[in-house]
Amino acid sequence: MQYAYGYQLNGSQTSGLDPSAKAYINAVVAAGATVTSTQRTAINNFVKGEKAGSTWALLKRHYLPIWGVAAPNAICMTSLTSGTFVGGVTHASGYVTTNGSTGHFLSDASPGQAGCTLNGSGVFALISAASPFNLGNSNNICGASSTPTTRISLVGNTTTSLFAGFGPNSSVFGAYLTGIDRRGVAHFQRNSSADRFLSFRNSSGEVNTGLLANASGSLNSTIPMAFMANNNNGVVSGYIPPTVYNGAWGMTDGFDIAKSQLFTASLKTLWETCTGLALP
Amino acid sequence: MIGFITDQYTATQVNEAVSNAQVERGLPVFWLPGKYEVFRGEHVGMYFIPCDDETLSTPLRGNPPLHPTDFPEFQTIIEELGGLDARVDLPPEDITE
Repeated sequence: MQYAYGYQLNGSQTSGLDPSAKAYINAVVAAGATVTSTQRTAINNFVKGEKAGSTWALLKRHYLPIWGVAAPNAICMTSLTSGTFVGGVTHASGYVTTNGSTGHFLSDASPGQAGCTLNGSGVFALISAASPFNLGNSNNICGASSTPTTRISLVGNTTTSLFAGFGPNSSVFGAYLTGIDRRGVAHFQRNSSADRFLSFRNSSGEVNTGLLANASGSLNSTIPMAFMANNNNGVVSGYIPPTVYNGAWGMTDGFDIAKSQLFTASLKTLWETCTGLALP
Repeated sequence: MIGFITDQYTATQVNEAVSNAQVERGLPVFWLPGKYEVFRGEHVGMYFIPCDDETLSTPLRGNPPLHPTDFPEFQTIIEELGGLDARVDLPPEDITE
């Protein structure tokens, strides 16, 4: 009986799970994560929900660095490929933090390599902290850039407490959603060749910009996406502060606002259930 | 920031050695110490490899997790960089271009 219980708790008991959830759980357990029954159920519910909402296939990379160990934290939930932690990164229970000067995470793929299309690329992040915080234009939650027209980055704007970003796949800088506490799920997405949007969710609900006119560039990004900093053609800089908890990141393709609203809610539930932490 | 100061070639070799240690075990490259050009100060033109106590105790893989110092290749790298006593304390702004 004791063996059976332990067998279940360490994640090996995955019968009845969605195959994609099972594959991810098996991968992170093999890499050193301990997956509890609650976490296993939360992951399974998330995967099933995204598949039911036709968004699972649109999650081109989805990292959940909550396991307190580098190898499982680096595994993408959807592709099962591994990214790379570089420099000063702390692997806490429920999130990772950068030291603000060298620590970042590099996906194994650029948005284009991951399957994000020229006119459908997007990025998301679940970030939190002990207290509300500001980000400046040089603080990149994530970013990949080469020529200006292939920029994708999600940054801040301290002057008026805004989210801001370049792209996706354009050089036009935009600042959005005045005065909100940045702790939550942010999803920055190109909706078509002509517009983009940013949606944001915390425990107060969801807000979004609506569709904002913005012309896509002619080239898809070929630079591996960095998280907690920006990767400018191999030169990584623009780190976020060490006080920011990074609970999830990823790259998306083809989301509209309605799908984004559902996804950000599901991701918030996944992270909160798996970590026992809560967004404000 | 605590770490080693070395030249670009050696910094690249160090990261390649860490990468190879993972690949040779059949693993993806999920962790690298990194290398950062020094743009100002006493060590301008050289490269910085982070190696503070937190780096050395990074939980890498496994349950219980192994740390960089558990791998003989990493111990060899540290020795070839002059040992832990050869580390310097570099101001973070020195690696910001």
